Amino acid sequence: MNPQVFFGRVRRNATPHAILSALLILCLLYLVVVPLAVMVRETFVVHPMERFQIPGTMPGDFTLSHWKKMFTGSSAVSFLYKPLLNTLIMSACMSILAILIGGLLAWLVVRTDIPCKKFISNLAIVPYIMPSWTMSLAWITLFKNPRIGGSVGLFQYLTGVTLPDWFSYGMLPIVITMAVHYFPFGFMLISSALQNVDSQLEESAELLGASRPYVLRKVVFPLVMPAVLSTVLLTFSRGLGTFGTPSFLGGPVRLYVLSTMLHANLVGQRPGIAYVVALLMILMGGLVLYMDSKLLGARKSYVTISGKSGKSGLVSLGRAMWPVTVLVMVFLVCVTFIPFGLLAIDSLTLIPGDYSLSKMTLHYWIGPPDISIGLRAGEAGILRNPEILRALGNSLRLGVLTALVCGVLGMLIGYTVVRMRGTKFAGILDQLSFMPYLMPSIAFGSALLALFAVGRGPIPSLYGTLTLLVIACSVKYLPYSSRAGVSAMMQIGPELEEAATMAGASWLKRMTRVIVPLQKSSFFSGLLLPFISAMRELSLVVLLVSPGTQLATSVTLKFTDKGWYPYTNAVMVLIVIAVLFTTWISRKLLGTDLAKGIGG
Amino acid sequence: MAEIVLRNVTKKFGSVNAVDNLSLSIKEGSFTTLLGPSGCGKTTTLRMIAGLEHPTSGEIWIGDTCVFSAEKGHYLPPGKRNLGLVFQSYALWPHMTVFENIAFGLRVQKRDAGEIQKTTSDVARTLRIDDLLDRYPSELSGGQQQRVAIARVLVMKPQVMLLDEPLSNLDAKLRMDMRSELKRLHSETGSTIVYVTHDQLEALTMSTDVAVLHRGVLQQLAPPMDLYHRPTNVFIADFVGNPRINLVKGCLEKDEDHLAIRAGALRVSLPLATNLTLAGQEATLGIRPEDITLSTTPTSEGFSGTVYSVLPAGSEWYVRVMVGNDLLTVTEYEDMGLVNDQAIWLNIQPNRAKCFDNNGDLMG
Repeated sequence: MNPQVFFGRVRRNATPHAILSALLILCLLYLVVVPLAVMVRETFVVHPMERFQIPGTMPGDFTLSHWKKMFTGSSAVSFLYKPLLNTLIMSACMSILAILIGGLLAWLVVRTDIPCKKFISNLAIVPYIMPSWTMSLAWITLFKNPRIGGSVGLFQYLTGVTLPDWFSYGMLPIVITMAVHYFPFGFMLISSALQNVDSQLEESAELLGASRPYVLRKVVFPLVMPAVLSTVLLTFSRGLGTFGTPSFLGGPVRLYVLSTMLHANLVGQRPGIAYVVALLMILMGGLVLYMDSKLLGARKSYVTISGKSGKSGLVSLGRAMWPVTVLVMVFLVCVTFIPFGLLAIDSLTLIPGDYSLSKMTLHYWIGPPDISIGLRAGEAGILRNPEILRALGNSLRLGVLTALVCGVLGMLIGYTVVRMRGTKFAGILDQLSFMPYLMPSIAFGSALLALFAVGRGPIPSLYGTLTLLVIACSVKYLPYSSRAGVSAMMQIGPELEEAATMAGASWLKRMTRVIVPLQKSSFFSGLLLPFISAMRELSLVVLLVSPGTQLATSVTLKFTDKGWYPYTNAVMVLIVIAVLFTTWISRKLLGTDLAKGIGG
Repeated sequence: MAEIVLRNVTKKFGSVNAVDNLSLSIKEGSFTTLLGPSGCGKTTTLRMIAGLEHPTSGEIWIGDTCVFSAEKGHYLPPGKRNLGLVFQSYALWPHMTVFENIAFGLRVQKRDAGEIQKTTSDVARTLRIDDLLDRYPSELSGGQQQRVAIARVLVMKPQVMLLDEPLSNLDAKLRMDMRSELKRLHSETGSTIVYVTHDQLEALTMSTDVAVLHRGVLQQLAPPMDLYHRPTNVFIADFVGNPRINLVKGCLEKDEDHLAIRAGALRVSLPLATNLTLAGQEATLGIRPEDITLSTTPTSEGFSGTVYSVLPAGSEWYVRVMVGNDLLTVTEYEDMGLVNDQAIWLNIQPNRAKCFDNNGDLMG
């Protein structure tokens, strides 16, 4: 082939989307695949602080001791097997409970004549919007026993009953509070699956003489079963990577799961072991997603073959209607207003454990740094505390930057995937941008830590910068945005761009004059989810923050460690307000429906 | 205004040849239609001329410019080929007004505002959409959107206009109106038009030349009437014409110094086919429905049959007649008062009958 022909071919094939997809693939490879490789290497290397634990080695030497220690050593039980078992129990129980609640609620809203459907749907999403460990803090506020920090919770204050440890801390509250956080996920996915069941399928069964319960059991349930199982698996994998809740509720009774074990080992200068744990978590996450696609892939499809959803098929609750409605409302209030109220009240108590009205104070909000009153913490109230204000500022910056990066990348990925559909590039890009989804948050955080802890070639060490946090959050939330981007691009036929090509418009002009204006509304509504997720993120960033880049979420850890719950709770109240306010505003202004994004 | 020449153009999608070694010359100033069933490669051909698809091999010339050559590595991007494309879906930008849609190309070329204003309104007036300039595409009817799409192309004064099934989204009545408008537009602007359609009637009524494609291969390039009366093969004969041509499989035989074809109960003499060595080979007889006349009384040359069903169509009657084991269609222009199962005699005009050899190619 002569050079002229070769360059001609290159010029023809080097379309903007080809170049773009190559760039995006390179970036994602570096941020998703390379960290994994680095992390694998780290598990075979002696780290500076470990050379005393592994005699006769120098930092950087090759070693198998981390793996040996994890799987065979005397410490294997406490380092690996127990946390692993706890993780499995926690994730399994939590996801099943969450699906039961979410599924029941979905069925009530979609398939019965329960009143106030819209109100129920709106309220049911709130626990998911709040930071995942809000519930656990509320639980501690309510059911704390004197085991930690000496003070008691509201329940004991009011009744005088000292609750046993197993109720105040440990597995039971972890499962319950996490299920309360994740049930909206199941609610949304199962609602949409139920809505997609063609009512004609039910009607034809009824015409053949089947009773309602029989139709439910033999037609509806089998049809939504794949969606239910898939939701269980996805919730399960979310549970794997969660850090906050097991840390707050498991810590006091020394209950460790893999995520807290990973954190403890990294903080305790045992990175080798920590990365082994992280790899295991990623492996489990991958396994779960593999199961999801292989076991359910074939069956999933028939839920999507949907017809019109039938209004005719509503089940009448009859006399049970009011009791059921009241029960649902009470439950929803218990998982939304009450936890929020508890945190708010606790942030006002001057002396922990004393909830009498006369001791209510705004000291922890606006008080001066004074070591003579309340907790004697010597910290200023959160609204005048420079450290906390800086953390809040960081959180806001992180949220905005992450949303913008995700929004732009999501749109570009959507554009390239749709334009290059059917080619290998599109497939790889689609898969790569989805990969962070299967990585448990804290494990992905540790992978990025391994990659960016030291400078590599032209890329400096990013540890301690906000950039690192933005990178972590952007890549982690990319699956939402790229999904949204792809489906938004699908709405626009290629002709609209081709018409501009015919008119002689350059690629930049086509993007700025045609594609971007057409994507504007979906772009802006796509910013919401990454913003909220970044504002309330803890598991992903807990390993990546440094004193200078503390976030509103991570700064609470310090207070919680010291037992200074009023500070923690005050910050949490601020975060929850910020997140709910953003959601509400964007719904009013842009008509954003958060439920659609989270479903991905 | 320029001639378009395709030389040995092949386009592969994976292992499928969408267009197979196509050589085609589209005359300057002609209205050439690419006709064929869906999947025949006609739209791919159009998009290759436009520059939106790249041939796997071959060359494309527009006028004196080689716009694409796989061998020499030439490639001229679509915007520089000075041609306009009207899409099947119109592809009007929904976020721009009619004016902005039409003016887009001029603005890309950074013409001055006054000129843009003037040129755009001139074209809008020609297409009678000058009162719609401030509207958005969603506020227009299908026919109006069509005009905007054409105006957007015309405003650039392209040397070639490409139209990709532009009428298929319109209802039947509007389609008829737009056909005559497009034909008038062609004669007024004098530009070369390449038109893609699967509707053979559209091709016949509008074009100066029709190129029939089948499975990526050019079957015939001819003026519409030639195509209709002298289709070079069985595929074209069958594809062009409504109601469809009657095709009866049969066998060639000797008839004094020329050949004849015996097909079912029919036998037609072929005075022009004199290659007697072909006698005994299989062949197909093709007769257009209007080339058969019916009579209710026996005729000397007629073949006897029975009426199978009668389909009145306003100005004409389609009569389905059973002859031997074959069902033929006959067009009659007056009501003969026929009833089902009635005995009938068919008279075939021998000089209108077509005979295709065992490869499907026209004989004689």
